[in-house]
Amino acid sequence: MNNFDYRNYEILAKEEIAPTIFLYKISGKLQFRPGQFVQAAVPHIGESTFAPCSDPAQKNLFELCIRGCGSTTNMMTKLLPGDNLKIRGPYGNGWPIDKLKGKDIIMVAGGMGLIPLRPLLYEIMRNRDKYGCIHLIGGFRTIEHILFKDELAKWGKQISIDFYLENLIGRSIYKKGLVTEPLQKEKFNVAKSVILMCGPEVMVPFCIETLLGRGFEEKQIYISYERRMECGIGVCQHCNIGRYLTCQDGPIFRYDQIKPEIGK
Amino acid sequence: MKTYINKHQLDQIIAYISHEFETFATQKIDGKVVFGKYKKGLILIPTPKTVIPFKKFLWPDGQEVALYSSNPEGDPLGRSEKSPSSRQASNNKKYAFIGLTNCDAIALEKFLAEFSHTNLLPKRENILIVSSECKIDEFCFCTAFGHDKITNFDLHLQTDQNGHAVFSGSKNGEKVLRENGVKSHMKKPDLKNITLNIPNIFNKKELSLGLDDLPRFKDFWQKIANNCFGCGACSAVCPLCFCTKHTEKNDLDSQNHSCLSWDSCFAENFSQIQNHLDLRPERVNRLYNWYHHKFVRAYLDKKDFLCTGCGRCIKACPAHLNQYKILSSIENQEEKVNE
Repeated sequence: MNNFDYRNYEILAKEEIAPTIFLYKISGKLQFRPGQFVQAAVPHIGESTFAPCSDPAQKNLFELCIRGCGSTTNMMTKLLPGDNLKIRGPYGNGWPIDKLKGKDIIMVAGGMGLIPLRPLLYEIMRNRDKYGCIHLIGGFRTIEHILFKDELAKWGKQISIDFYLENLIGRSIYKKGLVTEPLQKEKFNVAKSVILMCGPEVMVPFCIETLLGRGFEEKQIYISYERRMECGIGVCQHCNIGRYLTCQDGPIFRYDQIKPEIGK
Repeated sequence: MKTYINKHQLDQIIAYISHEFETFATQKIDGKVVFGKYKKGLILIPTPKTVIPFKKFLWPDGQEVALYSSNPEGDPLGRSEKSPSSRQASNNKKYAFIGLTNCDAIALEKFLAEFSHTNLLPKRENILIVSSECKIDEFCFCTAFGHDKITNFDLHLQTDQNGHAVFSGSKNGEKVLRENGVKSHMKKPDLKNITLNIPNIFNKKELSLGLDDLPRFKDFWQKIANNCFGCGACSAVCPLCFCTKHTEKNDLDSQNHSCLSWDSCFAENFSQIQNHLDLRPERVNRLYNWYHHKFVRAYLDKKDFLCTGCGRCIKACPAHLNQYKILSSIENQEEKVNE
């Protein structure tokens, strides 16, 4: 899909799942692969990039998680059930699901970085026996900022979850610290694992340094990059990382392939 | 077909084209040479290069890509949200570009190829390229890329001591000549090649490798960036710069248009993401990205550069940076290493 073909979708439900972060249930069919993204527009204001965060197998419904942080997203957070969103996409490559079969999967999510990983978690849970150990490592600002808490707790028996909080007062089941800490401490089957990472730009190099220090190879690490998307169809040139366009070749890149291009 | 034509035949061909196609031309109007919608101005042969290239007409600034109504009662003007945008609908129209220099004719082909995976621009078969003998200036360096031969035209115009000559380079060009009753003369004109006093002919592979090696040329790029104003004039006049941004245009009747406007990769917030994190915060980052796109990314993708050596960037640069000399320095350094 390489054109500006917007479709009109109706919002069915809205829930504030963390401070200024809203989960929208949207009516309509959106065929996407976990890790892909869409462009959602508020007419008169602008459009922004989002990764659908629902189960990709859901036929007539999908979910977008929106944090109000700019003019467009702040306007989106004012939308209510019954309102419409103009959405085009999905675009991009998605997580390399075929390469994950039989592997241990270490998911590293920083804050909202959990969103593009959630559809993959659904996919894995549906075919749990095809994958090895699943280790979800998340870093959040406070306990209130943890996304999909209850849902993840249900899956807790089948996957190992380690959530670290930047600010934590008192006793809690969560630990205080940064996402790099479990990457340093936890026991992993290094040879059998694949790492899937999504989070703020600043988090990525620290995590990679830690992982490489533990003996992981660069080709075992996949990262979902956030870049400025103006068109999503490989025209505007805003989203390039060196020779790659994030909207067309990404947003998910294997680290050994993207490493020489970072900073260009 | 290649043949001589007289002034009357030339005028007739231009009139025919402007009647059959939506025509843009390099023309002299009120003493100024401009490129724009054809207004029966004087077609100059040889043709000087205009400041504004064809891209601003192929994709007018703020061109609509989609229309959507936020008016619950529908569109008061009766426009349908489901209908293709005006641009998409107009892509089936036939366009003619008259008086493109050879470098611009090559650039137009490359420009269209960059958009070929979308429905945003008309297809090549719907465009008639009437190139013209070019008036060489001190900024031209097209021969450094091997563009000394006249290519990529449907019709080509030139003059010599025997008068005007026309060459057809495609079936579409042939048809225009046939419809205007142009017949071959006994005397055949020869297509004039371009000769420039350019010492360096670039080895594309070496130049691309050199440009890709950022750590080795870090100081070099910093020195260039120290002199660059970051104004983006080079990207505005370049026929092969096509950075765009998504904008919204609002009408009083509550209609809203989703548009693509021209942008420049030299703009400070060009690579900014959430929380005002700018991934190319320094001018040197943005300057390097400009060269990287044209000479590395394009070469890796298509084994060709997004530059035809028209020299507009050199002419437009207020800091007097000479892109030809910058590229030559990189290539010379690369050669030294390989020797």
